[in-house]
Amino acid sequence: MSGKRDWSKEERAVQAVQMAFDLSNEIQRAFRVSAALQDVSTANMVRKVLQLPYRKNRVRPRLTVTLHDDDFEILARKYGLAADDRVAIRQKVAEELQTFARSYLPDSEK
Amino acid sequence: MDTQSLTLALGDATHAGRTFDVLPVAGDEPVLQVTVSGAEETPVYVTVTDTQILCLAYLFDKQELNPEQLNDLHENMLRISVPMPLSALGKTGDHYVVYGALAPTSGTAEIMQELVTLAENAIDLLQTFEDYLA
Repeated sequence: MSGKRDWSKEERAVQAVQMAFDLSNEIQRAFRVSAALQDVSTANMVRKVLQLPYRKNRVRPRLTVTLHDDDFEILARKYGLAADDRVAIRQKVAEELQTFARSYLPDSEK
Repeated sequence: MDTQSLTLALGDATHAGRTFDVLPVAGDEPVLQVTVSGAEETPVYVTVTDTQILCLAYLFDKQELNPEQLNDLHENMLRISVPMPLSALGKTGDHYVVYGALAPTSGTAEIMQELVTLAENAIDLLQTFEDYLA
């Protein structure tokens, strides 16, 4: 590109937008993580930081996964089970999730 | 139009039934993060220079794409960029973006039109190019 015209200001503007985007992502991530650690919603975490009133009684957190027919087939292959043996598949899923949780939070109650 | 007056103007404005949440982002150059109601997943970043008002929404990163399909994606992006209203596709660093630029003399109505169109286009583009994601 033969850049005889000086677009350095525009270049800087684009870089500024880039930095703003990266910063926003980091801020959002910080709020999601701190909200999860404090058992509040991200929206309430924002209100908490700003010292605005918010509802403290959070909805009871649930861990659910909705498994569709395709999912049962994938999981059956993975666990070496029959796709229609859904009870056994669900048992394996529960075990796998527990294993993940234990390795993720090794110091928590087991 | 500068970012301060834009922040004030957008804060109370409605355009085509949409409202705007404006968040100034700290940095050397003033940048606004504008969330258009109904298109919250694709915030638009706005900056004003002497020559243009640049509005930009982020689509995806190079790392998120299937490398074998990159050429095909680029070809499609170039083709779709022409008919797409008020927006064009581009790259900054490794980020693929959709953007629109207005003259610095543009009024609030034109800027709001651009913001709404850009945020909607960004959502459409994310769906259009879904299959290229790794």
